[in-house]
Amino acid sequence: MKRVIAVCLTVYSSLTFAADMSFSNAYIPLMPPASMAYAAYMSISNASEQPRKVVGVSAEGFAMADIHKSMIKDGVVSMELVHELNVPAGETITLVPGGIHVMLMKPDAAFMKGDTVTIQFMFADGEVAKVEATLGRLN
Amino acid sequence: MMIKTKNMAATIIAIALYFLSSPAMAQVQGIELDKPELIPTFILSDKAGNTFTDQDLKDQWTILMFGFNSCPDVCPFTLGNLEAAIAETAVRVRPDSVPQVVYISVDPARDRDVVSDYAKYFHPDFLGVTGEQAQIDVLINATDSFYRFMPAKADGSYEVQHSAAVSVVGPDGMLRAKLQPPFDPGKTAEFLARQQIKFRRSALR
Repeated sequence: MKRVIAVCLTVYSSLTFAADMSFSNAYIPLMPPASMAYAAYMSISNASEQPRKVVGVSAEGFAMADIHKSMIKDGVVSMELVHELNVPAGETITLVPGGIHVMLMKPDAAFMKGDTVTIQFMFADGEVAKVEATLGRLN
Repeated sequence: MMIKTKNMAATIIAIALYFLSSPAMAQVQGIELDKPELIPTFILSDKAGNTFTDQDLKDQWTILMFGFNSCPDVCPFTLGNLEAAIAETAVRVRPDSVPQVVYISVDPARDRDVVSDYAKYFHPDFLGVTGEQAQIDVLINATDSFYRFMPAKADGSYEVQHSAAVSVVGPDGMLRAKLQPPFDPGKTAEFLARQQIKFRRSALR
């Protein structure tokens, strides 16, 4: 039983520190060698009755991280910085290719399939959540 | 660097509106030019210095895609989808009619040494090339495409806005169609196979 609790705690702590916020299916597509920019995708759920706001993000092994939104306007692809990412009360938002993503820049080293990257989300109320994203194939 | 749209845009919009207004065609992701346009002379090259010119467009189908390697989201997604679309096309057409996908980086300053490896990562047969900005612009203009360097941030990094569509060039070196994202593999393959049938029929006449 102790071991079960320990495992649960380990899993729990690897996912989140922020109460009521949960992250699932976090992944980072593998990129060609020498790539300076990666993107992380996942679902973010807010089980609380209050809207939550992500105001910052960082990732281990990357010099910089930002939340970005890709868009196609008049046939042209562009990206914009998302300063605040709102997660409405009781809702799940999904970060997918071609939309909102965590942009990870300047990796310290190359990655292999199955490697994990810890991404830290800072919320407006000061809380912090950590999520482990796994390197894998796109789609 | 604003590259302005010409008559072709009006034609494409007209065709697109026609497709949008027709429920049966609402799923079409490809836009066929009513009048194919010849791709003019250009010269680009890969990492090893192998050239890619207008002559390489002859006698094969080619899909031209513009992007830049530091694009973390849309470019890899597009290349991944094109890989799946090409695999689907390969089961529908003769082996010598499978289109050659050419990824053209519009950002030679950063990508010259890595553009070929980048493209090959998504499919070993994909070609990755870049070149002089003026030569890139020849293809940008010829395909009615667009790109623009955004101002550099404090750390020197910069984003590049670029066209989302890819261009379909026939074995006669003429731009024949544009494909819009998200490049659904089955629909893209169907569209490309139809383009090829149509092209062969017109060649017989």
